[in-house]
Amino acid sequence: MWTWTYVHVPLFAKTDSTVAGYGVGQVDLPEGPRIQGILSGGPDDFSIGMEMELDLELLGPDRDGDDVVIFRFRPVTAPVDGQQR
Amino acid sequence: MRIDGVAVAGVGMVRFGRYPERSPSDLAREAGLTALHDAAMTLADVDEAFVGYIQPSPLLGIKAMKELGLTGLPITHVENASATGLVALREAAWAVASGRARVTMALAFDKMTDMAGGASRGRGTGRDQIDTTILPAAYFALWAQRRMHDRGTRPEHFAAIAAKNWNHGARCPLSHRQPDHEVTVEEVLASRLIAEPLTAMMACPADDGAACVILASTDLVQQRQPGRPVVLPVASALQSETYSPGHTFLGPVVGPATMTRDTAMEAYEDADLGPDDIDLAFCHDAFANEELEYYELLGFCAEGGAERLVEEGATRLGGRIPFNTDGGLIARGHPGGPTGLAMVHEIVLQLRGEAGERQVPDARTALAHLVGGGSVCTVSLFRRA
Repeated sequence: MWTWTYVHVPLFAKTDSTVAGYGVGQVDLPEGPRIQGILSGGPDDFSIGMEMELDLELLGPDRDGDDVVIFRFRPVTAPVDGQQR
Repeated sequence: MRIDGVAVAGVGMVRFGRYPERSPSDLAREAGLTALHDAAMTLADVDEAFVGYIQPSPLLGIKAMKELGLTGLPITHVENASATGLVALREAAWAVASGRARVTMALAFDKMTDMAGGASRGRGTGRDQIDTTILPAAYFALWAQRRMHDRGTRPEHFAAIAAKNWNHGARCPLSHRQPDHEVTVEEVLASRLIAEPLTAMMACPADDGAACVILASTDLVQQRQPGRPVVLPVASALQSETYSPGHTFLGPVVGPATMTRDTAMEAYEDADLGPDDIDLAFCHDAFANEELEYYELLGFCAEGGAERLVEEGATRLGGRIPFNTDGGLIARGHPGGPTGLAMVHEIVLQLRGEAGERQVPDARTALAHLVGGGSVCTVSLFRRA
């Protein structure tokens, strides 16, 4: 994780939205490129330098019935069964 | 781009704020007529116009110009996100400098409060909505978090810059935000958290407004307004992103902070000026932490020295290099297109010696900087003739 923030006021100039806050981060891939994206987790879950992994999240169908999927980064958590989750 | 033989003939603006009952054309007309009056001209004197706005609607600029008259003059739309106003000025300046026009108009307007409604459809409602609804606050909060990590910068530094700009706004009749009391660091920090570590009072408001600058050949301006100090745009630089290590490939609409350093360097070289020659400066302080970064990138202190500049109060009115004397984007406001022309409006008042209680003593040179999403950066330099 190169840098991150947590957005508490979710939508531009609006405060009555039902959308919760969300994290945004810039993540350096092992291959080099730096990618910005939404983070999975709460406002206390992130720190600069932590190891991240990619999640795919299904948002739902679009007008044509195709699935819309977005990527999110989340902190790599404790090893599970000797391997990182 | 070096600019020779071009002077500001007149400036006008509508105080930025919320105008639910007024159309963009109505706002544009008021700013345009005010500038023409200041220039002692009518639209018949204007050879060419450059109209800027970032609202997602075609044709608005041509329609707005019709409010001022039907003289057949060439009109061109200019759009470069938040940098639009200064880029319209750049085109208007070049049209005069090239000799193809004697008098040009840069006119910009926007109703950000309408655009805010458009963006409220929400994250995740379609393929095109996902990335665009990450707030601008988030982009600049990412800079702030990294700065705090690298330099030990504290939220108090950002809050001090925001408080300064709110308090400058209190002294400016055309500022949207005019607090009735001295805004403190504590007050800024206690306002609502928007995006870690940025609070609501560290951010610019969503504004409606319009601003206009009329340029002409220097001899014509001296002839029309004899005895008035003449303000000259002397350089304008405009850059888009250059690849460098750490380039963010996917996501951001704001470019790397270093774009400001490269663009400022180009403008200084074109004008044969340096940061030490500048008496007052304006920057894209949509969020207070940006202004801190720009102190360094525009060359007003060494890398890592911006926090000390804040602690010394060097960028307040009365300080060594006052920044955003009209309140900046944070207080004066930030409708989008007109923002850069509002900067020029304040620069012209300051260099003419007409800035009232916020006058920088004997101000002779000024710098205006904006970044625009996409992304671009532009820096303009001005001096008194």
